[in-house]
Amino acid sequence: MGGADDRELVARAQSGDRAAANELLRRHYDRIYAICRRIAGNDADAADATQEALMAIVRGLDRFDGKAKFSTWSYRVATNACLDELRRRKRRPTPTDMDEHADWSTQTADTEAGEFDDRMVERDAMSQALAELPDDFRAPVVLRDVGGLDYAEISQQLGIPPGTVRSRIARGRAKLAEILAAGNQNDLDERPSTREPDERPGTAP
Amino acid sequence: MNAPHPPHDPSQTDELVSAYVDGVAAADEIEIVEASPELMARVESMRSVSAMLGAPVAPPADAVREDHLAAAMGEFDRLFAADAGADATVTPLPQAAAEPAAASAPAAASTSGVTSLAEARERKRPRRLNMVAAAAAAVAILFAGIVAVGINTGGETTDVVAEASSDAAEPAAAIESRSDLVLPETEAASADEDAMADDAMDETAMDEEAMEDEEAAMDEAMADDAMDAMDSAAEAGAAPEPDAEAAFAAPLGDADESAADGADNAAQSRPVGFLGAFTTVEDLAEAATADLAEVPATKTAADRSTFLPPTDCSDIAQELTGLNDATLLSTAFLDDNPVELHATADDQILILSSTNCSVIESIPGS
Repeated sequence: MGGADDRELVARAQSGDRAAANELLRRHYDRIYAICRRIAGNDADAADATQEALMAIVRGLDRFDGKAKFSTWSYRVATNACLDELRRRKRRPTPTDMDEHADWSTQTADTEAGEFDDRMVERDAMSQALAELPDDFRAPVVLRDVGGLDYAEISQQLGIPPGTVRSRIARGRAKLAEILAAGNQNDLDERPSTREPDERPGTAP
Repeated sequence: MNAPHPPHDPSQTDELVSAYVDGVAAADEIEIVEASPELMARVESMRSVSAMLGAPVAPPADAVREDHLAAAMGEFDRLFAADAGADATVTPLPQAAAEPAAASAPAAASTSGVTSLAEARERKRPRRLNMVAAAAAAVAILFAGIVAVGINTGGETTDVVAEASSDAAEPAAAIESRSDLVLPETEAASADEDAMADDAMDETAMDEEAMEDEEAAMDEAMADDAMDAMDSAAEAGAAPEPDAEAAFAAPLGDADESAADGADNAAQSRPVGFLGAFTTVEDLAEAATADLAEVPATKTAADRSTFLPPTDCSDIAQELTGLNDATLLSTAFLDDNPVELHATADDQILILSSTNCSVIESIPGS
């Protein structure tokens, strides 16, 4: 099974071969999750989006005609699922950190505590920068730099002209660079402590 | 020969640099970039961003990953089971039949922290049934008390009950609670009532909004139930079994009709048409507002059965729109993904992803 290429696995999965479908999903899971994580911006939404993406891939499997690579197609499905998740998130109250913590803790009840804590604090600069990026720029940038799709594939997947893909990727990267640079500057600005040596965080002045 | 000058427009510069980073810049563009230290510095900045983005993301915990995969394989099993069923019967699998299939599929989703909509709906049923049973038990206790009072006060109660029992038709949900109420008291009618209550439950009361209304209706029904119970109790003294059965037969018949009417209304609400395949929301919106009024009544289940997956976002749409009735207007493919169009109370049309029932767009209804 491990030696079969995607095309063969897809054909077998489309005819009902459960093992082939399972292998296909496992093979692409990490990249699909990475795309969702980058687009969604946090673990909880990424988990929801990944689940939706996998479901959508399974449901759409018999419509996949093999003209594109399975990876390309599945990344596109994942991207759409993630963007749907983002749209849904925008239409409901933004969860507080505590709410998000609760959601995630429910989902990872069996996760070891240390691992759980690591994931909760993982809000790296790139995630925050991506969160500030408009969806129209985020999707092409993520498909390019996370999914590894070329401009033509992104154009096809997002239904926008290749020239637009090129400009959106450029503007997206430029914006990310700007946000990250600003973040770094803020970090530098905040790093020199103005506290007196004996003063501790949280103590009254 | 002088090197070409870089563009003055910053966005063009970014595009040039980004294309260079991706190796898709034309020869003259490469020349421009490499001739400018400033642009080469920008190249390094963009390369850094690109590398950070492409850096491996910490994968989810193994348990989460396995849950995701198991849920997806559960969906795979469900779809192939549905396909097998469809092949056998040569009819599309209706949503009502698909849900039990989902429940019997290897319950990957049940072990998952992230659950499917269908599973969430399934989980609500027992809780609600428990709620109905608890209410029925409370009313039964009340009933017993009133029987005692009725017997002690003799014929006085029957006049009151005669008025009360002439009330207009009651909501199906209220009737359903009544059928639960009489279960302990009238064994003879219990089988029919059970069946009718199940029908009412399946066809109307399980609806999201109806269930909420049911709680309110149940309170009202309890008063009516008490009255009817007094009626039964009063008459039970003269002819216990037949009269008691007759006392409940009429309203239960109404309930059955009421439930059937509700189902018919839902089924006949508005024809569900398939608008076609669109690549943009704008095109779909244009088609939707232009064609909805002209969707032929014959384009109903057949078109819907072409949908993959065979989900129905009506419950979600009802929550979003506040409409009690079925709100599904039409279906379509948007950018190769199935979508549903639902009406809202304020004359908007919601475009929902049929894959996960999320809202894609809200457009004016006319």
